[in-house]
Amino acid sequence: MSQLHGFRGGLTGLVFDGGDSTGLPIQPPILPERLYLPMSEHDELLIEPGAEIVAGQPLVVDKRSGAVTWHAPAAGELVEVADHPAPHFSGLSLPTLIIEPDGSDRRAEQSPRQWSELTLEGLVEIASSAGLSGLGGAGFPTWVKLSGTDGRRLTTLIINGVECEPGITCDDMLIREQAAAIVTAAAALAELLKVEQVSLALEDDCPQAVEALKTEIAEMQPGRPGSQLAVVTVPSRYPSGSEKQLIENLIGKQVPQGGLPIDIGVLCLNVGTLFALHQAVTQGAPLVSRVVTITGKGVAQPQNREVLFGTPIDELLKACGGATADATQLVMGGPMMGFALRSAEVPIVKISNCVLALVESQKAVLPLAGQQINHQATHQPCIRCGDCASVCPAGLLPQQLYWFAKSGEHDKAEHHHLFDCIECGACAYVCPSKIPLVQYYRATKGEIRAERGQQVGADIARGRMEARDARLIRREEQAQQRRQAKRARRDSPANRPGNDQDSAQVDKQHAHEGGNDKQPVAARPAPSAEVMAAVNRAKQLQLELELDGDAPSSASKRQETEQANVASDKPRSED
Amino acid sequence: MNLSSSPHLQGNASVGRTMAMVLLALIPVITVSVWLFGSAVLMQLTVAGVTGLAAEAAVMFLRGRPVMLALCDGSALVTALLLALCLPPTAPFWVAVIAVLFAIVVVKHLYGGLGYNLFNPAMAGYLVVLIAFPAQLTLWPAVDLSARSVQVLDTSAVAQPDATGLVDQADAVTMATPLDAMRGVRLQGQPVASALVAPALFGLFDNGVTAWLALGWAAGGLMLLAVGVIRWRIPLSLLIAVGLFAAVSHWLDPLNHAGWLVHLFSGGVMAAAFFIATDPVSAATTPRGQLIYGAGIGLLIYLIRGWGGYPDGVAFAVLLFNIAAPLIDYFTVPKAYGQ
Repeated sequence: MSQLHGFRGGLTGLVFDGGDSTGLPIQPPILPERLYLPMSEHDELLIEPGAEIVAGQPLVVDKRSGAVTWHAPAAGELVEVADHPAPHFSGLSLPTLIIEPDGSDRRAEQSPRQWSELTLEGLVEIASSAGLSGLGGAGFPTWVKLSGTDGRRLTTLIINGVECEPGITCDDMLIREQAAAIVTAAAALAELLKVEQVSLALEDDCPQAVEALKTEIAEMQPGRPGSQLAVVTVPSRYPSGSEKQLIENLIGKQVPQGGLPIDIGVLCLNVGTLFALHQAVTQGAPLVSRVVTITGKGVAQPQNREVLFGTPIDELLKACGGATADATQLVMGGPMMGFALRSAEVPIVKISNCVLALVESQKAVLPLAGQQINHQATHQPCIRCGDCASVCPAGLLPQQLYWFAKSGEHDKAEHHHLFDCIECGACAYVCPSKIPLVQYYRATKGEIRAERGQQVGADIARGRMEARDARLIRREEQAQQRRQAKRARRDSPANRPGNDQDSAQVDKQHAHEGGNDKQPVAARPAPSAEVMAAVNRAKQLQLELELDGDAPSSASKRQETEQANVASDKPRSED
Repeated sequence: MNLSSSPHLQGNASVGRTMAMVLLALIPVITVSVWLFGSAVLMQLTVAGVTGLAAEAAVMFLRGRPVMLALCDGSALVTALLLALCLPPTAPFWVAVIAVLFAIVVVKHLYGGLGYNLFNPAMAGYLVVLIAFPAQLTLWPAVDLSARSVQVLDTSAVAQPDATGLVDQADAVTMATPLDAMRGVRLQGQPVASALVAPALFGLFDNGVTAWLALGWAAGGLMLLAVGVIRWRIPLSLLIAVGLFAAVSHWLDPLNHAGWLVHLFSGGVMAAAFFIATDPVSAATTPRGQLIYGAGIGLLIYLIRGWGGYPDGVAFAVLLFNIAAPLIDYFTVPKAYGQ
């Protein structure tokens, strides 16, 4: 494991000039006047607005799985559920729980457990009821990750402490201060999952964290012969902390396209997630806060702070000495992948590892959505130099994707694996023409998703239409059969000629009322295989689209937003 | 609030910097050229450069685009200087003007300007004047290197006015290039070997002065490789293709085919390998595609030299593969992560 395998592309020498956020220890959480917890479309509220709540009480669950989405970060009152700016690159608002903390320390009862007494099933249950999701940035539900290992070959557990984005230090600081808990948790988890190889991966630019872990391992290792905890330092090269790139770097295998790490026997957990899991197990504590890096030249005292979920960013900045007068941009996330915020009222959520207050963007400024974009002011034409392709960790051809994005050639963009783009921004960083490539790709992905959404609707409609046609034909055939039967009866000598007209009339009426005929359901021929396939395909696609969601947003809202993005955000050019 | 999209950091690469590197890499070949042919080269470069910048500015103005931005990116100057270096220094100034105007106005801007041209502007401009003014384009000034105390070169044998059928007997100051000479004797049904002087020092210098120019191009090309402005795939595959086909042909029939060193170090092969075929706008862009693209140009160069109607085939080969580049790219999409 000590040998690294490297990964494709990547950037070295990235520097974020925003002050040192590791000078102070992790600061304690503040209690803001109001907490804002955004809900997604699958969420269900467990209590009525106006109810008193205590800290740690489950408030919102995911209807599909029963996993808890939000616990109350503090005791107080759930005032209302109203629209509030959500942490999403589109700047959309979502139905949001608004909580007024009362400052008391009333707390829901917690039931601490021992790692040693847990089964995988028990651990999954804890992760689900404690509301754990990936704290590295992607927010993948931890219980899904853990339960995915059930019955699968698991060879390697990777604890990801690699913060490749310059400026973010929350994992670094957490390891420095909680090394013992992290090592204990990693060893216990490895034992529970019966995995031989455990790598605690860090970047080589955080020596203190590396030292802290090594010290803890040296102390603990003798007592735990089953686990091979290894601290692995990877060279600073963006995006070495991205899950797929880290796995490729450590074990030399790539996660299959559209697959999960478990498909190649790997479970990868962010170090913050592991710590939260440890808290959930050993203290029974639900996830109600996280460590956030607040940095950038636009904030007076760059630091790491434990922040209650729902804390609005303006209050958080105040606690960090306030934003400077010349701060022009707020970013949630790191300088390479973070998204700009339209409002400082956006709350901290589980994926919010970093808040940047920037004084001046080092890159061309794109105007607000809805305004005409003058591309000449923003970037030069692409000269296809290919620098972007040489740094792309996903092995794509950004220069080609740019053409297809610009000309709306969606099929070619997909042929060139647009959806394998992880939006790391390495291409845009090296681009000599300073083209906002990621924005082009994001907009085009949105366009394609919107198209697929329409396709889903069309497929369902076509399925219904085909089913209806089949039904009408069937009915016509049956009516015809009945007529023939009748005619046969009539033509037989036993029939009296006088009834002819009556029976024809009845027959006609019968055919007319086809919809009401009391044919037993079971007797109906099943819808044709094609129809069923079309409907199933459509449902499948709809499901995928919903699962595709990255932030807490409802499918309809997301679609609206994406269409809005398509209409307004895509950089325009006359060429 | 500023709502720019991620990434919020930007490297310091720029189109202007890239083009400046290319201009710097032209210094070796310009130096060699001036040493061989004198100040006429500088005149040619000046005429072409001024024409190029003027044409770029005029077209950008007419298109309502930012003029200064275009002039500062240096792309017009690169095109003009590359073109000028392909022309004989003694060619009349209007040849350079016509070639550069065609390159910038028609080939570059009528196709959409920087980044949008289907063809390499310098090569297209060169071909226009090559076809329109063959006499001016095939005559290079005779250089008596022995008079400059450079004993390794013997150009006497290549200056065979009779043999080429192209060179005016009366024009004593001009000479034919080795490729002209080879084509001349080939057309007359004589063995190509008769056009080449016996190796004086290394086989290399059979080629006379053009070998020195080739070395100048190669030196600049290696500079570009070193700083990462170009990548190795196109130059290497092109050079290997030319060298390989030349070596095999020479091995099969030494009398009628010159050796691989003669081919690599004559005409425009080095210029094409490092400066022309590597023009990213008109070249193939996928890794495998670039290997195919370079090798294809190399093969075409060799075929045109050996059996075509022109002594050198660089410009034709490059333009033909410019057309093929999008197709090559389409069929050589690399595998994505995890695919």
